[in-house]
Amino acid sequence: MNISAILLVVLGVSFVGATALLLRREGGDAGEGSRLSGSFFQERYENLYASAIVDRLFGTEDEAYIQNTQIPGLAPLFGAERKRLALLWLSRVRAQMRYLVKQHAESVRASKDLNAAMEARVFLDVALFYTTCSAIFLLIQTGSLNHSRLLIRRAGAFSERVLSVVGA
Amino acid sequence: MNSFSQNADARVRRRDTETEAARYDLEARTLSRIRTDFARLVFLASTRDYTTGRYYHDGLSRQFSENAATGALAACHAEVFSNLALSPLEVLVEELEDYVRSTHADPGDLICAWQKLEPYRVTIPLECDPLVGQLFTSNVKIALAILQSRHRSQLPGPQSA
Repeated sequence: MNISAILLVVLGVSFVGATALLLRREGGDAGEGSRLSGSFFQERYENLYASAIVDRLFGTEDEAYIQNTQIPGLAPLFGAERKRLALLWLSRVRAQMRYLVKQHAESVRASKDLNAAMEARVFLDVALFYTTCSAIFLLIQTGSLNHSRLLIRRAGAFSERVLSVVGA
Repeated sequence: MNSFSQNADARVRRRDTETEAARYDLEARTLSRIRTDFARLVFLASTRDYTTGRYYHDGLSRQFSENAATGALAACHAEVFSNLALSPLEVLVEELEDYVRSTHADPGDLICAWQKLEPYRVTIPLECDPLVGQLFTSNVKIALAILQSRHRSQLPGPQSA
């Protein structure tokens, strides 16, 4: 099978998928009324990117303090505890995004108008969010928690952008 | 706005004001007399019934309504807990050390019991973010390891016995 045939198969599958997605939409009967209000999302949306939590989990202050104590065996205990909490944080932000995407998909299916440009932007933001989370995961696994700060800010920005569309 | 919703609003405002007054009273008369945040946290957690999660304080309930007293205790508990849970590890270690000293119990016994039984878990407020709760228990665990190490280094060695 040559490259052109593979591309044709991929295009065919994408077309069938897109058609199925459009057919699942309810023809706009529910319209805007089915969209959940913005305040609902704002209330449910936990600010996991709040600096107080991120500073404690990914900051250098506590790590420096532990190094200064020079207590044998304490640094590995601290590292293991922080890694566990950082992974928990990561699983929470991923779960939050899954929830947003699910709500958005339900809202889009019930909506009358499909704004292709906006949907493409949401898709891109979600993809970038998960890519950033994968990079954060790698940094956590390698014990470089304090190097994740910039990526956490990026993930927070992607999450906020998706929230602004979903809660609009 | 109809009269029913106006009355409801007035009730909410009155309740909020009473809770705020109860909170002020609790802070001024009781919490200000407790020296450290960790001791305040233990005190506030001890006013909670663990079977129902509701707070009770006789003195406060006599002065204010039971709901206002409960609300004041819950708000103070959440605030003190949040301050401690999100404070730098160094601050938490100092707080815990002061608390251990204030109990007049043998520090070695207390640290050992706390490491095994983890009683500090009951100080976590019911409505707390699970991640912040986990951060707190993790930090207390590390703080206890630091205090244990400090305590051991203060014990007389076998040669001085």
